[in-house]
Formats: sequence, C-alpha cells, structure tokens
Amino acid sequence: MQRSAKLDAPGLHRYAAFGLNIVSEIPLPELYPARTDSGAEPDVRIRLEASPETSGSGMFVVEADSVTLAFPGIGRYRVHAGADIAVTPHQDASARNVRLFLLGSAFGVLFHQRGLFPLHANAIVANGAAFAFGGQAGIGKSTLAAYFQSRGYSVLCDDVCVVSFDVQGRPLAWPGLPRLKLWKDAANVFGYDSEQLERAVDGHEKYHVPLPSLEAQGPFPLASLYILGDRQPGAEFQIARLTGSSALEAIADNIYRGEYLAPMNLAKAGFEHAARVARHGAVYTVSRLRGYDVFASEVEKLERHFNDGLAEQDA
Amino acid sequence: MNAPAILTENAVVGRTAGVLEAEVDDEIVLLNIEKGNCYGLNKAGSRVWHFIAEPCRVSDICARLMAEYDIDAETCMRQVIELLEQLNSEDLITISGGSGP
Repeated sequence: MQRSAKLDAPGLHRYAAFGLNIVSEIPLPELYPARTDSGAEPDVRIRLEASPETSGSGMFVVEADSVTLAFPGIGRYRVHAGADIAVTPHQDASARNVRLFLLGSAFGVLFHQRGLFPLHANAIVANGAAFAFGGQAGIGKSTLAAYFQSRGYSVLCDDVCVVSFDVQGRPLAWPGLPRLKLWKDAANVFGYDSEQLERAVDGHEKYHVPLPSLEAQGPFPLASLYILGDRQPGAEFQIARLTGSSALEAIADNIYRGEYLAPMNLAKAGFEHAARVARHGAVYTVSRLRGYDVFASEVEKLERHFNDGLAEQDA
Repeated sequence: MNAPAILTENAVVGRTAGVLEAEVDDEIVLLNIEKGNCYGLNKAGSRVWHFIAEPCRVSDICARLMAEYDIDAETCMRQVIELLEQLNSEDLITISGGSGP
C-alpha cells in the first residue's frame, strides 16, 4: 500500500466510531479521537480530492464497488469498497455541511458496502442490552434519547444505529456518533444552553449535545426496536408487538438510507438482515402524542416496558 | 388484471424466480424486490408455498392440503384460489395453463 507512509503524516486525524477505526484528512469534531495506543490498521480512510468536475445537481451513481453521491452546493463523495471515502467539497460549502453529508449519506453507503445493517434509529443501553427507537424524522427520537440520558441511561447512538450480526445471526448494536441532535426547545427542556452548543446544520435551530462515547465498550445485543408513531388525540397510548411480516416490514422501513440498497444490488442482504433482527429482537410500534405536556407520562410507560421486558428475559 | 380468469383448478402454479423468503415467528415472509412489499404466509399458506417449489396444478395443491387439514373440498379450493390471487397480485407466483377443459 503506497498510502501507508502517508498515514503518519501530519494533518491526518484518527477517530473511532461505529466500531471502525477512521483516518481522515478532514477534521471531524463530531467524533472522538481514536485511542493513541491503538496501532490498528484503519478500517476507513477519508481524503480530500480535488476534482475538476463538481456536479451541480444531485446524483447517485453506482459503479462496481464504488458509489458516487453528489449534493448541490455541498460536494461530491465517492465511497469505495466500504473502506475509502473521497470528498470533493463544493467551493461555497461550509465545513459543517460537508461533514453533515459525509457522516450521513456517505457513511450510509459505507455501512451498506461493509455488509452492516444501519437502522434509522437511536439506541440506549439498559442492563447490558440495546433498545433502539425508530420512526420517521421529526417524531421525537432524539428528544426521547435525551430524556433517557437524563434518567441515567447511556445513549449508544443518535440517528443511526449500526447493526452487525454474531455467528448465530443475533443482532449487535454499535456505538455511533457521540452526540444528540436536538432542536433548541428540546435542548432547553433538558437543561442545555443552546448558546453553548454547536449547531448541527447551518441556519437551523438544531444543535449538537455531546455525549460520552461508548466506543470502548463495544457492541451490545439489540433487544428491541420501538417504532414511534403519532396517535390520534383521544386514542390510548399503546405499545403493540409486531410479528412475522409486519415486524420484518417495519424494520425494513427503518433502514438508514434503505433506498440505496436496491441500486447497490443489496436488496437481498437488506431483507435477510431485517429478517434476522425480526427473529432475534422484539419489534413494537409506539403510538404517542407530541408535545412536552404528555411526554413525561408516555416515556415513563416506555421505560417500564423495556425494563419489564428485561425482567421477563431474566425470569 | 386478468389473472383470476386463468386461476382455475387446472392452472399450473409456480414460484416467481428471485423471490426472497425468510421465516419469522412461524410465518414465511416473501418479498419480490421489484415490488417491494413483504407478504406474510400463515401455516397453511406456507404449506402451499412449499408445494409450489415445483410448479404444480391448483387441484393438486388442494388435494395435498386436504390430506393434511380437516377441510372440505369446496372451502379448500376457494381459499387456495384466494391465496394464489393475492400472491399473483404481488408477482410472487407464475401461472400457466388453466384455460383448457
């Protein structure tokens, strides 16, 4: 490898996230630095690539084991073989926005290429097991994680929960980005001062709340996936177990960047991974109301539900 | 949709090539990637799916089911046709013949 000499060059940053050793030419303050004593070969290399052809429009191109993503005004990301990301930032893009799409969509491609199963979910750890919370954007996943954090649980990951499988096919959830993305009002509710926080996206009242990293503690068995949804006013708060095809379909609907699987010829892997999660974990839908007034009483029921589940497993 | 018209007891039914299947909670879950919908089969449906691994006639499916389940011929035929119509609408099976006498 002619690049190995370059690895020790100044200007390279080493991080650990998702169970991966990452070496980057771009500073990524969202991640925790890798332990300096780890002499491990990097799993992922991120480099800057000057390119004359910066596409003006969005695109998604699959060639052999590479996927090229382009976002207007942000830049271009070429993700190769689950191990290498070449980033060509748009001349007008802020570093923050370039990182946002790098750690989002580009890493989404990378996870799929590596045969990992990323869920669009947060996860917390209770009693040595991971509990994930999915549901469409804006349903309150991060707010829920912030609540559990305030209740003393460890937050394993925000937004993306990367899952791999052990030799028996059981799902393991990996530590993710050590931060929560919270809207200003949610951050304030949990006692964070948004003035002191880093913005997640330029021009939006969404902030990064840093979390302790669980990277050193490795993956946790994924016990349950709760899918948050709205309920009609007047209807009861409900946690309902899904089984069989409903469970599998619900998991498949919550794959992070799941729309990339078919063009990447990975639909079969996605289906099989979703089936493994359905077989070994419990899937529930949670119908909840939005708003902080009902939030506390609803999440207490949720908290009791996964603790009761743990008690049943122990019995 | 003209599929129900040819789904008679003489029609020969087989699995669509490339359909993915997985067993979850006593159900067989099928997916035609092009269609993108998961379809869950109960116990009896799973038996039918097993039978049509090799294409076979609808009447043979019914005969085999009646050997395993306490069910009368008419009900069996009606339910099998119903199931096959649903599987056909998800492009999970192929149907040939059946229009003859």
